[in-house]
Amino acid sequence: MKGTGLPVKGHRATLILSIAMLVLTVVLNQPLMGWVMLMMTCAAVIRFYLFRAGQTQKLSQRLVNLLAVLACIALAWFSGQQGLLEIMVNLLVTGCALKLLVLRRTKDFLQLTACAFFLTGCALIFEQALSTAIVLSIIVLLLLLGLQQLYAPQLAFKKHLSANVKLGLQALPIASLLFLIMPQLPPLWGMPAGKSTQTGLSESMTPGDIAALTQSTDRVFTATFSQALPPPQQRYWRAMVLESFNGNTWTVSEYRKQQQLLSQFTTRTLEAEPQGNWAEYQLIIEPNASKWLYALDVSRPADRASLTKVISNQDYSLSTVQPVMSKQLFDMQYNADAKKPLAANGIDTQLNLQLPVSGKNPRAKDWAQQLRHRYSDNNALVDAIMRYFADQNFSYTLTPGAMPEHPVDTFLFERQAGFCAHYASAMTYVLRETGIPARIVSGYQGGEAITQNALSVYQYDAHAWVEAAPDGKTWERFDPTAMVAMSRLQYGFQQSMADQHADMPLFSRARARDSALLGGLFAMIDTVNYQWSRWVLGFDNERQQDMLTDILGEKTTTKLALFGLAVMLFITGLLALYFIPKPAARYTDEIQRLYDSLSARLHKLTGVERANLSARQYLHLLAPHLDAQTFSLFEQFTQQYEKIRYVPSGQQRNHYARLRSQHRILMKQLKKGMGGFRPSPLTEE
Amino acid sequence: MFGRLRNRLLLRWLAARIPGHRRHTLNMQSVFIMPTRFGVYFFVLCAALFILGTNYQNNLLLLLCYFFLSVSLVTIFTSYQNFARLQIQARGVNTVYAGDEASFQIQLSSHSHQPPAGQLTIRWWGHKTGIVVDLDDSTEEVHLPRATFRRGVFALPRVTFSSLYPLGLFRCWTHLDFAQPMMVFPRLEPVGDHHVNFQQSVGKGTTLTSGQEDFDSLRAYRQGDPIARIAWKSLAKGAAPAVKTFSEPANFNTRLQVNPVSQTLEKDISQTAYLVVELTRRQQPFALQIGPHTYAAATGRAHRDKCLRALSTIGTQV
Repeated sequence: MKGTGLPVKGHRATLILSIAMLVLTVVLNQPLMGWVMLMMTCAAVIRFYLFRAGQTQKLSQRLVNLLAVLACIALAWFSGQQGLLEIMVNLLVTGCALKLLVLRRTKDFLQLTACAFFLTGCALIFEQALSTAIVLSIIVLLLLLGLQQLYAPQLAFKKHLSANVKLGLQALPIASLLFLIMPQLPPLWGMPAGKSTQTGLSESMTPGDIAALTQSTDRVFTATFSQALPPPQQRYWRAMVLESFNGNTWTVSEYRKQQQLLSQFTTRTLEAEPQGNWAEYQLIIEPNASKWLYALDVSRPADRASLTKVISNQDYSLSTVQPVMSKQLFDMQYNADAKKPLAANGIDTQLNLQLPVSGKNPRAKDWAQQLRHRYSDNNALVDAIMRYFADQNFSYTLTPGAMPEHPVDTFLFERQAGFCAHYASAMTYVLRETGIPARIVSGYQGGEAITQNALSVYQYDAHAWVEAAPDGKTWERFDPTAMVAMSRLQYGFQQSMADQHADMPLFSRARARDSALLGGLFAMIDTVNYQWSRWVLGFDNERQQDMLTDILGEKTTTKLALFGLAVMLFITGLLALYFIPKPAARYTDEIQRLYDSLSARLHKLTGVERANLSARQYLHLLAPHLDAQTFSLFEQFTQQYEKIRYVPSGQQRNHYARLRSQHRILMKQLKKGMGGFRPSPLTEE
Repeated sequence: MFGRLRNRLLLRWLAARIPGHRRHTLNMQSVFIMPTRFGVYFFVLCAALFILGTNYQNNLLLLLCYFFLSVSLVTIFTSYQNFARLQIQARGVNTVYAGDEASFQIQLSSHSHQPPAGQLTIRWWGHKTGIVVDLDDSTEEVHLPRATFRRGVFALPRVTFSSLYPLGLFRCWTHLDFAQPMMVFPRLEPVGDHHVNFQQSVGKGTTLTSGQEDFDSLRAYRQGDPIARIAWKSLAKGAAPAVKTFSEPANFNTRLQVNPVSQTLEKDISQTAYLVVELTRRQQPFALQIGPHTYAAATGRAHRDKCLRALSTIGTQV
């Protein structure tokens, strides 16, 4: 069977496979390059054509080989722009497209189907939204349908469809059960991460270069709190700390990066008893291919499972051991009152007093000197800077225009308009000039409550603020942006920017604020997606253990073994339920049942079997064996039976009732002392 | 050598497990099921998905992997259920002359209210290829061709039925013995039929004993008349072609003989078989003697078949 050729024209299995491949390519649009998608589309269209018209001209092997070589060269050419994972997916899709063109044998078909199954899995790496999952499950069913069609080409399509759906429905409970109880292992080894998937905050920030900030409405993460939500003013989600400044650009300092690398290899321990008031929360991070975590001040991993995945850096930021490639769940706890002391070895002070060697921003420098002379107290100085922003008619805008030369000077003394990065950058620079350790923290601020105790944070909530140590001992948070845009702090970005988003797309989330209907719709989708993330995507080892503990109580080997056995039995039971034939189904036809019970009884009494005879033939065959009364009764019964069976108008209620009563009388007659029959005439003679 | 031993052991085991019968209803006893190569790859794919899912900590990938595993688990049962609905009955083999292709008629039906679906491959035991029947195509009777080489009565070998429905992950198959004998008549080797008339010996062991050759009359030549009977003399004289007819009270006198210990036995048998067919066609009664056994002179299809059967079993134990 393996090597046999397949028909081309009207071969439904190939058509179904092509459709599935096409849809799969569309779903995979994120990692795929345009020309690869185009190639698959072409291959699918050619298949549609072949399905209708048949093979008119054979595609030469040479041409396909040439195409393959060209595609490989193109892939190699573009490979610089992409991560390893994307290149692999592109390569696989290209290969599938070419194979689809020359699909001739059963073997090709099976190879393609297996590749498509694998690509379906790959698609799940890139996206795990509920909608994607639904589309992909339809693709899987389509591929299975294609296989069925291959092995039963003549079966009616309706039957195929019902068999397909039945198969899916039968497999789903078993799969879910396996998913719930199969141990969730930690990553076995590191996997290639895609380059293009890296989204969100960047590790460097150049406020002067950004003329206009574009706002994305992608979700960054969702946080579920075990207690009440923190008040809006406290919703500062720290991601990374930018400590190195060259006059234009703020970056994460090299020293911190090295420390972060080192701490991957040190063993991390959970503090036995947390001091103070720690509140638990759970982060569901959308895939962003970066290592930075978003956490409230001051956070740390709450349990052992999260501890293995999270590194607590010295600058109080948190990072993950592996880049977040798929939706992941972290259990954290935070303490809003905890202090953040500077490192004892003075490295913090040293890093955060660093100033650019170039003589940039001279006016800001002078201003810093003036401030230093005027205020001897550091706290008073910081207050003065904050007040400066409030008093000098600064404004908040997303389109400040570029400030390439002396960005801090331009912002402070000329434009006096900008967004968070400008404010944070200017303030930090001035503070450093006055000798107060200061740094920029970039992260997110705010969040939209989607349930009573869950927040979603979107890309447009990105924010930057200042951490300074006026007393030289502990870090304190200062948000200069808040001085000019207080509303942003209290109501979130959406509200405060209400006047600015007129040019946003109609169906964007930002627009949804205006329309109650759209807003409600978005809220509903959010809730469904949130539950999906929390319960399906976020199901990890910890939750699995909790679930087992809930079911079993204390876990002992015996209990676990028994549980395993119970699960196996359950699966066996399910399969038995699916496949053990149901004897009741044989007797759905009441008329037949009545007749069969009667003929079985007659067979037992007279020894004459009905076998394949018709009802009338059987009646005649029985004639010598029955006495006159029984025979006439049976004759009537047979007539009634035939009437219902073969006369179209016979299927009426009263006919059924009559047949039933006749059946009852006959059975009684036959039971009555076995009197209904007489010995065989042969023995009589 | 090893293969032959294995084959023999396998056949013995099969004989005990699935005894020969004219009609087979498939059940657990007779159906075998194993993953195909595609099925094995499918499991490899599941393993790959599991590794991907674990390394990317991606629950949906894991779920997909488990879904595929469940699908294959369910498919084991589905394919068995589908295959076991088959009821297979032998309708017999047509008798052929050695060298021709015999055809084994098999009737496929279902004992369930739901008919089996999918393609069914039918082939002889040990053969690589066979015929493919689509069960949804409402083909009830299937002809499985079998090449013949030698005369004799053979037990038909086991027939292998296999199905990949529904997903090609598992192959269901069975080897059925229908306990059907296959009769192969000897190869026909034409001999000039003047032997019949002129009492010439055929080969060394076969002698044709003709009866009285009483020349009776001439009649006009009709198409198909044997050349040997043409009255050449009258034809040479320029008369219309005529055929000599003989009065043949030959009921007891045309006698075909085969010597079972002859050195050219196969050739003799083939030639005799030809004569048997030829004489029957001419409706000329004949007797057949094989060694000590004699089949009394008669004519007709039944007689012919009896004689051919006797000829084909010479030297074989029946």
